[in-house]
Amino acid sequence: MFRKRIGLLAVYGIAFFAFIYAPIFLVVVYSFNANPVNMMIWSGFTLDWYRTIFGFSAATTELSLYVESTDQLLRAVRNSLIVALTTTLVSTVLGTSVALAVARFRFRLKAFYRALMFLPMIMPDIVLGIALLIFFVSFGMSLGLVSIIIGHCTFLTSYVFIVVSARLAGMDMSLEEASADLGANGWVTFRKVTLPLILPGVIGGALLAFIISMDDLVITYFISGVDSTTLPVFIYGMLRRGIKPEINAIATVMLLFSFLVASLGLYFRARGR
Amino acid sequence: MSARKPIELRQKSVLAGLLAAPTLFLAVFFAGPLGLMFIYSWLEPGLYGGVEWTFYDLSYGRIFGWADTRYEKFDPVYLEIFLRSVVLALQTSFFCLLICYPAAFWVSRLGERAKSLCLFLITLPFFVSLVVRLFAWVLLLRPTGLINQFLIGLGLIDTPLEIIFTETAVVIGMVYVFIPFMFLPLYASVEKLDASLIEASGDLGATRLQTFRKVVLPLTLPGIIGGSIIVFIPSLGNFIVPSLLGGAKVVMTGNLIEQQFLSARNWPFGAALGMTVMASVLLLLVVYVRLLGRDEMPAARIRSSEGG
Amino acid sequence: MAPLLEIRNATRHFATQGGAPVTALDGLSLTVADNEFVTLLGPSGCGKTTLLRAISGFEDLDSGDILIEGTSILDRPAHARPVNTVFQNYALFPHMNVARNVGYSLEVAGVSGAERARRVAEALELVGLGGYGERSVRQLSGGQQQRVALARAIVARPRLLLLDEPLSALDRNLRQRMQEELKQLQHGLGISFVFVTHDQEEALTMSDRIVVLDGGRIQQLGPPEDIYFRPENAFVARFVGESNLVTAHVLSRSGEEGLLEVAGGARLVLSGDRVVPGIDATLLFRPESVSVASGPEAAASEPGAAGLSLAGRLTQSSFTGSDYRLEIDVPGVGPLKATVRHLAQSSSGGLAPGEPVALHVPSAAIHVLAGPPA
Repeated sequence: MFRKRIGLLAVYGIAFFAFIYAPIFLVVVYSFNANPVNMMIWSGFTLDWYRTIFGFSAATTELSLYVESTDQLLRAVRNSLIVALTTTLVSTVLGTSVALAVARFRFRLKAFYRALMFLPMIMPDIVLGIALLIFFVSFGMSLGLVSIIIGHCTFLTSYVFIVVSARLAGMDMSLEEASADLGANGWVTFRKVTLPLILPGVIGGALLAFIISMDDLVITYFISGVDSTTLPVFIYGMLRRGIKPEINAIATVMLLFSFLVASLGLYFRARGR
Repeated sequence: MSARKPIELRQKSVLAGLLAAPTLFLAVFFAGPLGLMFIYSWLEPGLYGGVEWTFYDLSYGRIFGWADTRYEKFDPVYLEIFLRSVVLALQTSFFCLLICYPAAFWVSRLGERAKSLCLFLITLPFFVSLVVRLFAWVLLLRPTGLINQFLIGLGLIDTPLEIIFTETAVVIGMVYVFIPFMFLPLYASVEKLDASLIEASGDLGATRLQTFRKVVLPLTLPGIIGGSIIVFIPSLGNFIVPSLLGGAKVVMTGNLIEQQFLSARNWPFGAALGMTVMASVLLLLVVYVRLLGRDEMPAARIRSSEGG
Repeated sequence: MAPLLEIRNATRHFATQGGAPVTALDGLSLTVADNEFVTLLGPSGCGKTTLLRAISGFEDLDSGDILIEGTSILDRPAHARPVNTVFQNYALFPHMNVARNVGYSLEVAGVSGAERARRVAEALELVGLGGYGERSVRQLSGGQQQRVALARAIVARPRLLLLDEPLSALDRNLRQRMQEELKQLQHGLGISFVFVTHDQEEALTMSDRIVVLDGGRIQQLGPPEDIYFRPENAFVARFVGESNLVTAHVLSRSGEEGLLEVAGGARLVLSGDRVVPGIDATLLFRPESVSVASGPEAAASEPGAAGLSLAGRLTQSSFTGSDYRLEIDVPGVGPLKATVRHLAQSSSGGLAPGEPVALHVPSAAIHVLAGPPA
């Protein structure tokens, strides 16, 4: 009786994961479908869509010349990488600083800072997006990569803060005192003791910031200028104009990239324990 | 001796050094924009976009009913859209809960290795581009999409069902996207649940339904509420999902806001809508914190478990 | 010549949440000489840890000064102070192996690799961990971690070593062995130790001098024998060792000797400055100084013996292996403790609770405290 119920639950569990992964799997499969007209009807294996997105559009028909220019796609990728890398760097430094301050010191505004760091995470994306748009425009800042980077840092600092704080919570404070006691000044202590010990958390936070920045659509959508389209905004634009087979290929490449970064994150998480 | 405190002084300077840059950054680029948005929502929209710097409460009036009687009668369409968004966000939370609850129980009963594999698999979609995940559902739900092909192939229907560009499609899309947000806090509650409590309840003569109502449900309530709120917040202001899966037919507050900024160029009205969304979210969080206490802050839990 | 360490009038208050500030150090003064083993002994909250942290540079003073060889170190940050600390939880760096942990202070000071390796090996040898350099600190037992922490703190040969309850996490046997080793090490190295503990037995075993602290003030400072046999006040008497405190009224004094009467009427003659007619004196004697005989007639049998003779009733008796621990209720005086090797009536194998007994404490074993019992 009990066993039967567990069995039923297991069937459900497998269905649950199928629901999560089947659509993603579908995109990958159909990225190899040769049918240019109805992409949901399988008509043979092809790598044409991958050729198209990487600029070798030899075998494509007029109909599927959808990525108007591979240059645009590549520029979007480049923009995304610039934004994500810069954002990761800045938000990791800022978030780690606050995490260190809150974990290491007793001060009156501690509760305030904790709350402050949660606010950007619970703020709906669209609200932050339009607020930043209003802000940049009314102060005459041109919209571009810089505005996107600033926008991403406002909420990614919080993500880094959370991850690094979790790591700091498990760290013995007397280690830093021991280092000072043995003659290391503040900076040497940070470099030789604190940083190596919180590094898994810092890397975890940085990877999270990187992946979210790479994937952010809503905030970027409002504060990216004409020439500073990032990859998610670019694909979103493509999708709004119609569904073409190349998108499957782009999506598959992005999936691969995401899985790589996620695995890397998992590796550092495992190493940190 | 003087009352010098060299150690405290040094600590304070380190503290100031650590906090100076983040504080300045967030004050200017987080508090600043939100403050400005608040101000904008009370300004008069200019003729060609932009704003006039005069007090104007009719942006809110258009939403809540003190319409500008000089130009128009109060049209409850915006309030309707907002309430519609609330309903869709609630539906999203509800279905996420329905789907995740049994799955959380299943995962919590697995062995250690299988458990961490499952948690990894749940978290992984979070790392996958939102647009890509939604695109998959466009492929599935379109008239020529896989679901319709499948149903026609089985002979169940002759003409494709209109699934895409309906509220159903929007809810499906949001449920799919936000499942990890629901699962993790829910799982945290379910895992803490001691299996022997369920056995004890059964032993004491409770039926399975009674056990669920009186033991399981109350003990997992923090996870249920926490997960629902984390799903509700991004659903309420969402505009990506309705714009891809709802088309022109399903308009949520998010789409309305987007229009104000990108096509209608009525920024004060957009700002007022944004403030309304933000106020609803903050109100919800305040109620939640009052009910369950600070430690159960939902955002903290899910997001640290995702990233840590 | 200035002493190695001098603490002048150190005062420190801590703010508590919403309450009155707590006094951790209350005008405390102390000197530590070269090659001396000084123990700060007291219950938790007595200020001993605050004092240690003030010396090592982790806690400010509200007022007062701390000098090393005549120079104030208050303005120097922790890393620039010529003292090293063995932390209560050892605080070994988990991401470094044993050798890097031990050599950390040398590495930070820029000592070259070869010299560093030599001195690390020497320090490890000294604490009995030769050849452990490449081990991870996570693989070590508690006692080994303790030794690594010790080696790390002495490798740079500080003049003064601070030890913050370093043995509290070890089991009893290991703790006793480490006590001896620490004492030997201190003598061998010729550096001064300031050792913090709440364990009076540990303090008595190891120290040259003990500082008994309570409420941020020094209750008594002196060699272990003084602390144990001649405590200054009731706090020290109660905190260090087991004690019996009895109040006696001084009836008269002639020359060196005074006549005292305890509640219940027993009288005795004691000498000393603290025996002042008209003032109540507090008498201290240790349980092991009490001899016990069976029956009330036993007390009367030796009326001439100098000291305190009392009659009471046995309330509790337990055998500890080497001794019997007895608790005796003396009317008017209260319960008293006695530790005896053999019971006077050994043939019967012990006394039963409820039996009347006679106690005797020789004058020499009775110490008069300053002031009334707290």
